[in-house]
Amino acid sequence: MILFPNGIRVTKTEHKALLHLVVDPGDYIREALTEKARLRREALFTEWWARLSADPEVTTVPADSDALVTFIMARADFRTRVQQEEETAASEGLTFTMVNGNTDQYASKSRPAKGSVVLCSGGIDLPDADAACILAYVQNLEDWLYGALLGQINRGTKKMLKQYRPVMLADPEITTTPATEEGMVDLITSHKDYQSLPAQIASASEL
Amino acid sequence: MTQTHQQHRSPLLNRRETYVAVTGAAYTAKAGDQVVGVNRAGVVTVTLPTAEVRPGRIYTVKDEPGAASTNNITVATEGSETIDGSATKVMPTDCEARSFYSDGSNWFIMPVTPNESPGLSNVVEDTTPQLGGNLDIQTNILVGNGGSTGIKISVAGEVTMAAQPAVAAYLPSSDLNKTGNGATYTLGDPTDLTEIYDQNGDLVNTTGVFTAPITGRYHVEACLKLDQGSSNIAHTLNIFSSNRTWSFRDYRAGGATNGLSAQLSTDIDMDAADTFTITLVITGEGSNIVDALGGSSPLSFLSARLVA
Repeated sequence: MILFPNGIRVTKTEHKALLHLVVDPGDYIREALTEKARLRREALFTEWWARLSADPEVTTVPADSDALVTFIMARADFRTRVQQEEETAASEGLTFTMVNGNTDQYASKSRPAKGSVVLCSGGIDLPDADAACILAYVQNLEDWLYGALLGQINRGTKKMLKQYRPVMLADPEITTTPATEEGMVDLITSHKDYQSLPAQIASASEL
Repeated sequence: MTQTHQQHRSPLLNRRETYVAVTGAAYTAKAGDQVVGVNRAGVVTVTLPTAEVRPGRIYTVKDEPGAASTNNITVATEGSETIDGSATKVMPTDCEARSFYSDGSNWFIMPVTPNESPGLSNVVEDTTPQLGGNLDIQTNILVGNGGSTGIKISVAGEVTMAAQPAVAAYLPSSDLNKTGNGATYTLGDPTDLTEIYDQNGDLVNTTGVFTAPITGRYHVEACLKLDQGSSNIAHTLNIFSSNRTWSFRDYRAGGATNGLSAQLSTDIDMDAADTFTITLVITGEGSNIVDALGGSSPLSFLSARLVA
């Protein structure tokens, strides 16, 4: 499964916020997804080992990890997150609605090609079994990725401002500072004393 | 300018070190100095002397009161020498310590290793050196810069973790007519939440989305104070997390919902980069007439923290 075949576009300011915390934002996204798949596979097995062991009709289970995923998901009592919530909503007389808040939030901001950066430009290749493990728990894979990305941008922005706002205020050459977070990120990252994480690592490796 | 010099033989390192305490706004390091302890309620510039530019010469500069984020320490060179290629190095982090060594022409920064920390001279050796013995450290322990940015264990044993994920935020004004006939209301949307604290930058206050920085167990609490409902309503308060939806569902027969609070707290499993939001769905009204009350003090709020 290829997610985001055209990559994920972020503004240059968002990219700077990411580079405050990670060396390569594209790698961060890929690694976050890989780790998510590993953890959900582990959780799936933990949850289902007990149920399989208690089922008298189950005499053997596949030893191969991917085959075990397929085996679990083929059972009549297996439900993905979406299927579980559809059933719950129906039992309560409610209409199930997919939650795509992170996708909506990402889409609410304009990111024109000029002045933006594309992450994971070749798309993100996720093995089908890994995707299935995640979707056992997560409603929407792409919405999850948008949440991971926007959360990291927010964290990078906040940490940068917390660390460097006092430096800006103490610099006698700076008489006013921007009122917006984006403006502050641009001011800080252009300051002589600022180093992104990749720049810090490059400096350290020269020693 | 005030400074005092002390010759001190470290019991751990068994070598002679020279310490100078700097309390003035500017100090040019001396030939005999090794550790420069900055302790001033104001910005300080420490100058590395040209005369000491020789291969292997090291100075260590330390923010002793943990105030460098407010009162930056600037390390400068006396002549045209550079520090990692720049004319100066600003130390903007509380409790920060930096070592500067010379290659004979310029100065370079290197990390301060734990064994060079003067504070470790206060380690008391275990009197019963066996498995399970104690390591009694009779000083503040700082990890990851301590103070405002890391873990600090005070001499008295109190532990603070300045970067531990911990968030509290509330609705500063009411969101009107958001649910009642099945609509989903999300705390933080449309009205931005006011953050009381967000230690690690994990909450987007404009959307109410919390993103986990690391995999762990997070304790989450939410309370929504409701208004304007008038009939038999069912309310469902959710922690909508990436892995699952945690729901509290209640039903009120008859009467208004004015002043009714919906509350939910639990520990939830979050993987790194997972998110959660607090959502509320009320059914039973003819239209979406129910408000979430906000104000200048927390009426509708959320909090979350990493617990394990």
